[in-house]
Amino acid sequence: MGKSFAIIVLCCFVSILNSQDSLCVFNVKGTAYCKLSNALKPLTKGSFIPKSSNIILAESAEITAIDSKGIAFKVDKAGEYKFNKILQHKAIKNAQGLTTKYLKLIWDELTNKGSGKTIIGGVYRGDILMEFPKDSTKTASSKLVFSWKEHNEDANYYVFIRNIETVEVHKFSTNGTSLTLYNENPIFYEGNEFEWAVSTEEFPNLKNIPFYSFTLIERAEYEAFRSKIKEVINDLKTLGLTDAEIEVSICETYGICK
Amino acid sequence: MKIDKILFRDAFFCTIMTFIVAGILYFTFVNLSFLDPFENTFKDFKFTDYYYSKRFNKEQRSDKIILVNVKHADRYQLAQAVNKISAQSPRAIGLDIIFKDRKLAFTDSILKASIASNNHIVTSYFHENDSIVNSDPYFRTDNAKKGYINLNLKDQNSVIRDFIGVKDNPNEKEYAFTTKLALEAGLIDESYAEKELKKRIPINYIGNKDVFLNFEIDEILELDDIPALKDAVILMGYLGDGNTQFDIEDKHFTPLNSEWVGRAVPDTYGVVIHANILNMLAKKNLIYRVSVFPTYVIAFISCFLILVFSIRLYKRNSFVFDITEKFVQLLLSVVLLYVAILLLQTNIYLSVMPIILLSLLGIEMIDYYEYLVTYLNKKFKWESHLL
Repeated sequence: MGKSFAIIVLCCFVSILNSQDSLCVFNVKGTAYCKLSNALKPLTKGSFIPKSSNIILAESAEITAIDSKGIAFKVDKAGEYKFNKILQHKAIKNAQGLTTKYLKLIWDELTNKGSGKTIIGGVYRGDILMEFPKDSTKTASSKLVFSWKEHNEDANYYVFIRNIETVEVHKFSTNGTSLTLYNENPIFYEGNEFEWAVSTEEFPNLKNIPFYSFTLIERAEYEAFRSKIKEVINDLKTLGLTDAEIEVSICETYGICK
Repeated sequence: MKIDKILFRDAFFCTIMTFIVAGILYFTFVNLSFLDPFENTFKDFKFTDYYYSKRFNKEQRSDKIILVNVKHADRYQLAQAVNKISAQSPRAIGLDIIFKDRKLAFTDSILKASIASNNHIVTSYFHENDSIVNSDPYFRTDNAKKGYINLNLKDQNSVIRDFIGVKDNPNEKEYAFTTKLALEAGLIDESYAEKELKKRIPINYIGNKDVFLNFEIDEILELDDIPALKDAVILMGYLGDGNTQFDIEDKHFTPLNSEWVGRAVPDTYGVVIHANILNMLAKKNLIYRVSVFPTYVIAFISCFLILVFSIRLYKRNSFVFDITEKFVQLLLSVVLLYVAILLLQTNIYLSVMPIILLSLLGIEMIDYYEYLVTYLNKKFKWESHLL
């Protein structure tokens, strides 16, 4: 009886030793909070998530955290997660064993998969119609206005929006030089990173036309960025720029747009 | 039974013949200057690079070693970053930067004060030919700790695979930057460094920049509090300034390159190489290298065994042998590489190239060995399984 009790105590002790005390935030995209005793604290890279806390992820936010053994956990759906729930979201699910990985690679080599990388000796030049959003911008607006240069007066324009994550492409046709979409549009439901392109051809080769990427961000992230550069904003105000002009200036300089 | 004995004897002599021919070919490559490209190609190429290139190692990340990208920040910003990091009580800070000249008296003095104020800062220098390149003497402090950042070793080509942690010079002992940092952070002690790090050790890479918690210098300056910095080892160095795809400043070739043969674009920043070495030292996860003699003993045994099988097949049905020869060679290479990768996973580095090449050459040598034993049979009534 005494021996069994000692084993139980030992097992409990070992399991306590093995349990995670906290996770270190490795990467954050979007807005995420740590909720500890009803107090909310924004999660930033390099902060810790204590065992007794929950995390709250805003829409289209994602977080990667690691434990003391270096194992990564990734949560990318909005919601509130308890600490133990995070541990169920390993960043690499069902990691392949060495033998499986090796045999798969050998097979790919034998079947020549992975070859066929395109190598070109030149650079892209061409008349790019797209004007806004510019390439690699982050935009926080609920209304997205895509605008482009006029090709000719009677032209019909075809706008292509591609979800980077799902590679799904949506196509719109218009005879104007702008298109407005709202971010509750189902095409923005999944993921927050997109690319867009405009063409005057109805069925262009999508590999042959340049795409501009844009990321949808939360308004809070935009405001946080604004507060970081508040001195610059004050300087611009002193120079007599209006709020709208300042927003355009931030958008053009930093690629972060409202 | 008698036949088996002769078969084994044939396999033994054919193995010796293979080694002699391989030796002659090797010395031809080494000594003929016009064949240098071949020699260099073989030096540049290691089968075991496949392990790192294709990421066979278990995915693990580290928040105990933190990288800070200094980009092209000025000395004032660097000083601010050092102060900010110091305030979070890291175990040690490594500056993988050389301040070769003085710039502005004011900012230089601030940087010097920042470096002097922390007792756990390790600075860097390097050897160039017979001289040592240091930061300007102005930045030297009384409590200065420094280590060499050379990654080039004798006989090592442009791919950074190995590292020497401690150099025993006649006048003084010299420590590598990462060894000094590991000592300063208390990750290893002097006796461990003395015992293990004097010899050439293969670097146990765990991954590129992404596996280490890393910050841009702007993030360090903007954030008020970064809890992860406490008790971590911080490495400050250059990790690109925007256009990482085409930026090759302090970028080197390593086995992490996705192109494991014919590397063309450098893949890893110097500071990431230091971080990998540091991680290896922190976890005392050194790789044991099988020395040359046991490697060639294994090559001999492998060559002998494959010859026993091949000679038997050659004698039984030379048509089947000719058909299956290339397949057997391919299969043998795949199996031997697999064994080498398995061993590397258990931290044993076996140079599998001579084993594979000698075994493959052994199969090719059977035809020549047959001519030899036919001649010997005519002259001396030499018995052979092939006759």
